[in-house]
Amino acid sequence: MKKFLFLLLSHLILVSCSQHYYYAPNTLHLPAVSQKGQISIEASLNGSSQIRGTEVRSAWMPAQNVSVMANLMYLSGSFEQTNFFVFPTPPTELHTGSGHLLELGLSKHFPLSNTNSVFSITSGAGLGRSINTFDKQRKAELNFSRYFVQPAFMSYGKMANVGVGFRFSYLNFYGGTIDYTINESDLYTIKNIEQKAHFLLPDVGFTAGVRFDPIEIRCNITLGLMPQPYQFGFSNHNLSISALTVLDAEQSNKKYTKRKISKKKKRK
Amino acid sequence: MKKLLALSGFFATLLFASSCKEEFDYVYYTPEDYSLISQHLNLPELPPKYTAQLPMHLSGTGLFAPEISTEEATLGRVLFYDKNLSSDKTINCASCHKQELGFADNKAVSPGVESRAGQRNAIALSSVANFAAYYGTDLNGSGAIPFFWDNRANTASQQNLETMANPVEMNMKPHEIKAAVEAQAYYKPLFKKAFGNEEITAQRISQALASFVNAMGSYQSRFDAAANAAFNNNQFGIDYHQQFLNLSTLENRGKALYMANCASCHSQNFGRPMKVYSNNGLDETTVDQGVGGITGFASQKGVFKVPTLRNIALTAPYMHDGRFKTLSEVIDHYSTGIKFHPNLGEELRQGNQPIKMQFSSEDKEALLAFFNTLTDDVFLQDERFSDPHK
Ligand code: HEC
Ligand code: HEC
Repeated sequence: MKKFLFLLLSHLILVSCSQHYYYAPNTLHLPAVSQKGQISIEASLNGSSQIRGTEVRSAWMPAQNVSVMANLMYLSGSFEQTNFFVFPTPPTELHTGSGHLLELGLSKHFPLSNTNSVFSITSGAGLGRSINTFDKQRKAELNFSRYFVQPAFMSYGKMANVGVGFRFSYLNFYGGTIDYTINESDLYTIKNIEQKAHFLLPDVGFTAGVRFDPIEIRCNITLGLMPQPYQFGFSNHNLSISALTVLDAEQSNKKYTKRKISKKKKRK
Repeated sequence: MKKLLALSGFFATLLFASSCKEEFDYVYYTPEDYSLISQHLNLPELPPKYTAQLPMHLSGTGLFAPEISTEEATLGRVLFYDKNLSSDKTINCASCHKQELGFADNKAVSPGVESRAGQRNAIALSSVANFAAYYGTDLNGSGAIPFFWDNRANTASQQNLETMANPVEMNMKPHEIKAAVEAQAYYKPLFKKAFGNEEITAQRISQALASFVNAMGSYQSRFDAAANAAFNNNQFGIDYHQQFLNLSTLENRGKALYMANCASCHSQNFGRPMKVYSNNGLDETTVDQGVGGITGFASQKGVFKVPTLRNIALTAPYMHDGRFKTLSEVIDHYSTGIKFHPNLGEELRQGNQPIKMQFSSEDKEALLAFFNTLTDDVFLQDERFSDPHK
C-alpha cells in the first residue's frame, strides 16, 4: 500500500505538461454513505499526466438506500512551449488550461445480503467548462454538459474499503468561444470536438481506502475507455488521493464505524 | 420526496439547456475594432492562415515552410499595399511587385518616388516556392539564401527596411514610416493583434512586412501537380528526367531540355537553386558588379543571384537589368548568345569557351511550353495576397 501511495504521489509530482486538454474525467464518486441520515464529505487532490486539481465529493442519504450526491472538480495546468516554427526568433509561450465541472446525482443502493458489500446505481448530470489560454492571451473556452449512469460495487471492511464502478457518460459540448488564431493544431482539435459535439464516454473507476476513523484515506483511479481520446484533446485518466469522513446527522452520538450494512440486513 | 422532485426538475432544466446543439463562436477582432477596420479595409472577419503547406516533392527534399504569424502577415498585407509608406505617397511595395505579374514589374527598371529610376529589375516575389522556406530564417542562418540580385540582405525584414529607406524606391526614414503608420487609425487594432499592444515601431513594421513576404510563394502550378504526382507514385523519391504523366509531350520535351541544361543552376524542383549566385554570360565586361560590388571579391564581380524560375512566363522583362523583353530572347541568349566573362558559371563554359546550346526551333518551343507549366494561378489570384485597401 505504501509503495502504491508512493508511486501515485511521485506520479502526481513528476508529471509535466505539454498539451492542451478540453475535457478530463472527474473521479468516480463511489458511495460512502450507507445509513439514512449520513453525510459524506470527501476532498481529493488530483492529477492526470498533465493536470492537477482538487475535487470535493459529497453525498447525503435522506431515506434508507437512497442518496444524493454532489461532485465538484477544478483542474488546472500550465506549460511553457518554445515555438520553433515561428519566424524569425522562436518565442517561448506560456500556455495554461483550467476546467471545472459541477454535477449532481441520485443513487439507489442495494445492500448485498450476508456481506459487507453494496451495489449501487447512480444517475446524474452536470455542467462544466474548460478554459485554455495560449500565447498572447488567446483563449479557447468550451462549455459542456454531461449525463451519466454509474453502476458501482463497494465493499466495506474493518481496516479498508474497496470499490469499483463503471460510468457511462453522455458528454455534450453545447457552446464555446475560441480565439481564431490559437495554434493550428488546437484549432483543428476543437473543430473535431465541435463537429462531433456528442460523446459517449465509458469510464471505469477503482478506489481503495484505508480507515483511520473518523477519516478514511482513499486512492482513486479513473480510466477513460474511449478509444483515441487525444484526437479530441480529452484526458483519459484521473488519479487522486482523497480524505473522506462520514457524519451521522441523525445519530450524532453514534460512532462513524457504524456503517455496517450487513448487521442491519441480518436483523431483518 | 419533494427534494427528489426538485432535483429531477434541475436535471430537466440542464437537459433543456444543453440539448440544442450550438456552434462554437470563433472570434478575432472585437466588434469596435472590426467596424473601424472595415471603414478602410476589406479584411475578412476571421483572418486566413498564412503558413504554407508545401507538397511532397518540395518538402520531401527538406524545403520546410516555417509557421507564419497570421496576425503579423495580415498587418503586413495592409502595409505592403499602403502608399502612405512612401515620401510622396504614390508608391507602395505593390507598385513594383504586382500580384498579377507574379509580384514583379513589367518595366525593366521600376520607377520609385518622384519617378526616380532605380538600377535593377524588380525581383518577382512569386519566383520562389515559399519565401521563408527558400531564404531560410535566422534559425538556419549560414545556410540561408540571401536576398536581392547582389545578395546584400540576409533577412526579409532587413530587405524591406532597406527598400523603404532607398531614395529611389520609397525614400522614407524609419521615423517617417512610423509617423505615416501612426496617422492611420486602423493600424492600431492590427498592431495590437500582431504584437499584443498598439505600439507602432519601425522594427514592428518591418517584421510584419517580412511575415507577409515570407508567407508568399508559389507551389501550386501545373508543374507542381505533375511533380507531386510523380513523387507519390515513386517509392524512392522522384526522377525529374522521367516523363511526367500530367504534362504534354511538348512540355515533357521542354522539361528534359531544362533538366539537362539549366537545372544545374536553377534546380530541378524549383525549390532552392543549386547555385546561390553565378554569372550567365550576359556581357563580357560588367558595369553593375552584383555580389562582387558588395563583397569586393574579384571572383564575385559581375555575379548575380540565381533566380528560381516559378511564374517566369509572367515576370518579363528578364535578368537583373531587365534587358530581355521576352522568354524567347532569354532562350536565344542561352542558345547562342552566352559571352565569356571571367566569372562565367562553369556549367556554361568549356575552358575559356562559352557553351552554345544551339536549340532548334522545336526545342525553343518546347522550353517555352515547359515554362508555361510553372505559372501558378492559385497564388496569383490568392486573395490573401491582394490589395485590402478600399
Ligand atoms: C521602386 C520599386 C520597388 C518598390 C517600391 C519595392 N521594391 Fe522590392 N524590389 C525592387 C527591386 C528593383 C528589387 C531588386 C533589387 C536588387 O536586387 O538590388 C527588389 C527586391 C525585393 C526583394 C528581394 C527578392 C529576392 O528574391 O531577393 C523583396 C523581398 C522585396 N523587393 C520586397 C519589397 C517590399 C516588402 C517592398 C515594400 C516595402 C518593396 N519590395 C518595394 C523594387 C521595388
Ligand atoms: C551557370 C548557372 C546557370 C545556368 C546553367 C542557367 N542559368 Fe539562367 N540564370 C543564371 C543567373 C546567374 C541568372 C541571373 C543573371 C542576371 O540577372 O545577371 C539567370 C537568369 C535566368 C533567367 C531570368 C530570370 C529573371 O527573373 O529575370 C531565366 C529566364 C533563365 N536564367 C533561364 C535559364 C535557362 C532556360 C537555362 C538553361 C537553358 C538557364 N537559365 C541556365 C544562371 C544560370
